[in-house]
Amino acid sequence: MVAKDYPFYLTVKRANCSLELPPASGPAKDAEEPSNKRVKPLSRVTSLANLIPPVKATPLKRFSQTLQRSISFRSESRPDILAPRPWSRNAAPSSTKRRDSKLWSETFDVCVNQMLTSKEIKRQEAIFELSQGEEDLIEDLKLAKKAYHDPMLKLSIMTEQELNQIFGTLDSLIPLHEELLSQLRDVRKPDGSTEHVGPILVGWLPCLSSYDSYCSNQVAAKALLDHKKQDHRVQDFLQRCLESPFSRKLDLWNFLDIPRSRLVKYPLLLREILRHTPNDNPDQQHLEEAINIIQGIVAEINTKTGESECRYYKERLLYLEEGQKDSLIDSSRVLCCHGELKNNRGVKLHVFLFQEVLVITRAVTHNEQLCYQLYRQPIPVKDLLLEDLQDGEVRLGGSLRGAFSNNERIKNFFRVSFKNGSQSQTHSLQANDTFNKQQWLNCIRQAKETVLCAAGQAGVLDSEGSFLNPTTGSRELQGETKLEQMDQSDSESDCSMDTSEVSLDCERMEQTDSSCGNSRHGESNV
Amino acid sequence: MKERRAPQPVVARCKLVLVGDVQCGKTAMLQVLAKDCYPETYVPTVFENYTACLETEEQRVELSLWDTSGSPYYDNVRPLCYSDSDAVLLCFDISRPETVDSALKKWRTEILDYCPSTRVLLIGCKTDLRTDLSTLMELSHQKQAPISYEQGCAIAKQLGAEIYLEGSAFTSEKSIHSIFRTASMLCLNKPSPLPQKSPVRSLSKRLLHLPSRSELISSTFKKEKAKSC
Repeated sequence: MVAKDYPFYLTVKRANCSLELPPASGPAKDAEEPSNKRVKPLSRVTSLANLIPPVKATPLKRFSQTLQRSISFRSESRPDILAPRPWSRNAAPSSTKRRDSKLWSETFDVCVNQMLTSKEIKRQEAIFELSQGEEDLIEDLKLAKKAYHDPMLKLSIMTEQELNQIFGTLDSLIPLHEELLSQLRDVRKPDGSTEHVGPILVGWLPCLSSYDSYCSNQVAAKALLDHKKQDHRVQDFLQRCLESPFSRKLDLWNFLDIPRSRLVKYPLLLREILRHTPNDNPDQQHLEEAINIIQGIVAEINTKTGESECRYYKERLLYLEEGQKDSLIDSSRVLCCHGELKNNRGVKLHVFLFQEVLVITRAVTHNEQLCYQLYRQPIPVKDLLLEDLQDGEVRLGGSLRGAFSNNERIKNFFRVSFKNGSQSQTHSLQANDTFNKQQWLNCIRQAKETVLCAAGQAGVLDSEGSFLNPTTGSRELQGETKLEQMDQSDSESDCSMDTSEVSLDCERMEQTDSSCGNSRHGESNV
Repeated sequence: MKERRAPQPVVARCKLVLVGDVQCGKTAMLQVLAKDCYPETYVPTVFENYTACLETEEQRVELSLWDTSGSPYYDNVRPLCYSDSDAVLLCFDISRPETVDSALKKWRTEILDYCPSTRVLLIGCKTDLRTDLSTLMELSHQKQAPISYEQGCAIAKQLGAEIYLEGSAFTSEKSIHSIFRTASMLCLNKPSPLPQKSPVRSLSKRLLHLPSRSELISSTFKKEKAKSC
């Protein structure tokens, strides 16, 4: 189907030029398109336009009003806006102030002296998307500084220290992307096409390690920004920005989050270029190397961001007694999960599962900051006993409320207990739904397995250190284990179901098993 | 250009985050909503965050839309996008039934981890492939079939999603608009999640919520806060 469309497309784009058919292998590869990205035939678009029902007349009027505003806005900031193509739909574009997106084939005249295959056109589109994305990113980072950071500093809406915390190292990221954009423009030929980007990327990507400090700061930045938003002046300033055209109705956090969002998409962008690069193109080898580089960098930043988050919460633990301090907390670098649970008296607790210790706390406000006050002794994971409790098994204790409670409140409990010499404690904890409870059980089981595994292999740990170190590998292993545990838990809960439901679950389990196989296969590919 | 008008009705704002596996159709949906047509020559890999405006008879809704990378890794860096979200659209490709169960559980786990009280909507993408001959033949070789609407509803129920919606960015712009319209209505019209869930609204887990002192005090009385956009 796709092969048909390209001759038509090429005809439209290059009137008076002769057609070039895709290579023989083209159709076979193009057959993969429908399962991934698909291109819509133009003729269908035209026919659909004719079928637009009259009901759309009303929204069209509103669109045109907004469109006029958008046009006047765009003409000021983008004098080079392109006229819409003659064959595009008559319908007005959706009402939005979104930045105008561009395609390579719309930006450069492909007709002149060009007889490109559909694959090569897609390759140029992918390269152009990377380049255009850098341009947009630079523009937004500069906007964050000039429209938010600098005015708030000048007007003393926030202190310099606070703004430095919220904006982090954002300013230092701009030159990095200007460098990449500059190099991509340098290698672009006069006709707009680009032959090789691999070497540029291989040389440039390592500088993205600078993102480490920016991403690690984001949890704290978000917390402080949310706190300052309670200040009326901050709130008022941000609201005015939100209502101004320059913000495109995106708030400050959106702009602060752009670097992180962009970072995790580089692997996708590069893989897309590689997908359309022929095997005989020397760029292919460089692109594969570039993808490996960026995946390593993002994985490293991911690990450090996790450690930063762990540190953030440890700093906010409040100890009532000296004895509550535990070296296992100090030495933890991974926060497996945390969240709100309730005990059997209905008290809200905030529970942290670090890699070697479970910490039960209560959220309190301390010096206007959210902190977590320890509630009893931390429980070492290696000594922790975990019990899954059936619904209705727990008695709500200690108050009149228990007598009047309904079934709803006796669900989703599990119990953690700890006994070591003279110390002993037990907690019945309630999650807010089945899925959440299951997640806690899986996380705790996973942490216990990790600790036991480390203890059991103490003698041979050094020799396996190199295997354990790769972050990506350990991530995948954890993911798989978690998945298997989830399946196991499902099968356990099946026992209490009706026969008809059991048969349905069996079918689902079979599907899941095949999924496990598929995921393993996927991992081997990686 | 700037006009002074009579006070307008309050503009409702919602933040929607789209998550799901790589190549399941998230970005194409957003492209269709933004440009009102399926990309004709090239489907971009990345979708830049933007705010769409929906007009209804009663009010004006500004939908803040966040696309995410479908890469399954980077589980510390990626989830910061969930911050302050009103609903998460959990997307999957109906023509890949073999990956649905495991993939959705993985994403559901992440969503619960970072924003347990946010609404989750299950979205089936690429519904035009239900009648695509090459897709049907390929799946029949593996003794499978595309996921049906009924199956989608069952999966949504199993995952605890509020609703199952589906559409095809490729063939039906209308279905995509309908998805986002329904999502925004759910955010605006229902002050709290479905009654089956715990009546007490839980705080977000990793994303900090810093209540003022009075709010903290009132929360100890189990006062339920209505969710506003």
